[in-house]
Amino acid sequence: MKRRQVLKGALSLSALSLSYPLLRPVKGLAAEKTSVVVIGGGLSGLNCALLLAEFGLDVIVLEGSQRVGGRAYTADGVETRPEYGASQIGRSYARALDLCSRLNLELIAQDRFIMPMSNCVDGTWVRSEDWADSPVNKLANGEREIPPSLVGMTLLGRLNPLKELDDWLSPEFFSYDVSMLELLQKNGASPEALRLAGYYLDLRTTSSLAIMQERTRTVFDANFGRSRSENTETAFGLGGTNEADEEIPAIRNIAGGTSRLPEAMAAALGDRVRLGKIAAAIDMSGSDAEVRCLDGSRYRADYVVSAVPFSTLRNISVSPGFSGRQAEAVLELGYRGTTRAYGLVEEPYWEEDGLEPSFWTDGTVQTMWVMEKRPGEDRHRFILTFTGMTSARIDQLPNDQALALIESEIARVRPAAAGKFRFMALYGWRKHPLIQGCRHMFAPGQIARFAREMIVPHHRLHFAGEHTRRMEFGMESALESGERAAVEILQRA
Amino acid sequence: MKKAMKKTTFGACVLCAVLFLGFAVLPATFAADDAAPASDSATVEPPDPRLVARGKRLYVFCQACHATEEVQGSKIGPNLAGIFERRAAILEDTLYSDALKQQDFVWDEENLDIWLLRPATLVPGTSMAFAGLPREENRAAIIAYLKTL
Repeated sequence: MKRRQVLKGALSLSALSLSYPLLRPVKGLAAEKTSVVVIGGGLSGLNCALLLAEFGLDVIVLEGSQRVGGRAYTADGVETRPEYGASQIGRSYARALDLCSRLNLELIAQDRFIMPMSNCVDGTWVRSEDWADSPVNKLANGEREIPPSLVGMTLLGRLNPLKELDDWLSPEFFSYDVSMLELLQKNGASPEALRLAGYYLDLRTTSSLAIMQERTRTVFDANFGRSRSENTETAFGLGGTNEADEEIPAIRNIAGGTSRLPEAMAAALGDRVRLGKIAAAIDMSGSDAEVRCLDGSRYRADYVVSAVPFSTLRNISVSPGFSGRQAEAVLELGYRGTTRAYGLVEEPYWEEDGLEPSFWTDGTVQTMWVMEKRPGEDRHRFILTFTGMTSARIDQLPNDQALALIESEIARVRPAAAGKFRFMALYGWRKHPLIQGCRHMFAPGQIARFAREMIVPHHRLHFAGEHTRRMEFGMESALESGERAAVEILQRA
Repeated sequence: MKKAMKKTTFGACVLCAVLFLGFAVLPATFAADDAAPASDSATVEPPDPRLVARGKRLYVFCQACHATEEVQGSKIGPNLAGIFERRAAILEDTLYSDALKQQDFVWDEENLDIWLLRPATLVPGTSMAFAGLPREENRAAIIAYLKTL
């Protein structure tokens, strides 16, 4: 085809477009109009959109990735289908329970019983029952009986003054909005306690008050509907203490995987959910709001909900811009990376070295949980969890090199295990470019500085996401935040 | 347990239907000319339909825990059909906190107002995880809606 012909064709096409506006390609030109645009298709954004839709509002959800759910992410393609993100539903997780019921998702008792844990401290192995009296145990009196993997959380728990779920937002408790290191030191924690806790907790960069809110919420859940209090110490997530005699298990999971929940929510929203839409700008300088995406598409709305983490919002151009403490929050709120490796134990290596199956070490391999077999399973599953600096050590490498490093580290610290396990998957949340962490984490002083101010609506922009929680924790906190943003908008719409 | 689950599922489905079907027509239902039902007592003021409609929107904060139709039974919080002027913690199918079970008050306007501002102020140790409504007019709106249940 000659160049002239091509040009002619192009010209006639554009002439046609001008005279028949309906035939014009929409992309990059006309903005789609709706009542509310929700940026982010995780649990918070989806819950917000569902509630608004129930009240008859037009809603569009813009999800940047090709999958809804955000940090609710079941690895469906991987053997045993591990959960990369959230999975635990506590008894008092009202919104999660209600949604599952309404969307016909079945809940099953969490079947994840962690086998006993030996510890390797300074290169010496100690079985759990020998820990308190072991010469390797350099903890002070009153600390010695605490397993090394729980030292930080247990000592912090003893200092927790919070009673009610919203106490953490009260200035009365802001004296606890200091680093865990400062608070533990001030209250006489031994140097060895600080050393052990420092292997898995970011002692210097985490607000004690933030951790205490989570602990208070966890205890609340453990006591919900029970007349006694429980020991709920656990390094990561809720304690796994399902008891056989109880009618409702303490922790449940969604049958088929956590991803089924956001998928069902998105299905209920239908074509209101748009995948692959990365928001680049939120313009509220006119009489309404306009959200522009990287692909050139535009959406006009009366209200916009930011249901993305601040680690993402801080890269979106917002006009008028944030100011004061809210601007500080958007820019500076801390995020944490957690990396997990999932696998199967091929041979029970613990029969060879006489130690317990699970273990904790003060090296790169922090925590290896070996799970009791579930009915029908012929091998034990395991999960390795890396936080803080060790997750950075893993995350810097491509997956194959990272797994090779972990494998050689395990073989070095626990030779009996060498060659007796197999990895299935590795996932590091810090590497997710649209999330950049598994969760928010207030740095010391940030709660007092902006925890209350950060969620105040900014012009037509409202805030949701687990980082904007008030009372809740985990999945429930995401749902809580979406609900709050929905009510805020319902009051204005 | 299975039976209980089934009941909850059924209740939730009814609620679901109410939510999806009912709320879409809400403005019409609560239009100003839609007179309040005749009251059997001259001293009871008819509910302000606007306030009730606003309260129903705020009830989004409550709906995950509290069903509103008696046949639905209780979710993780008590069923609120007939809650106004009901004695605290009296439903059989509900897991109340020990703190609330020890109370002996009635859900009148005054108590509801304190409760909705911050539940723990009225009953320290309550198991109702609710962030509270700082604005008085929002509490009044929810209370107006609760009176209709």
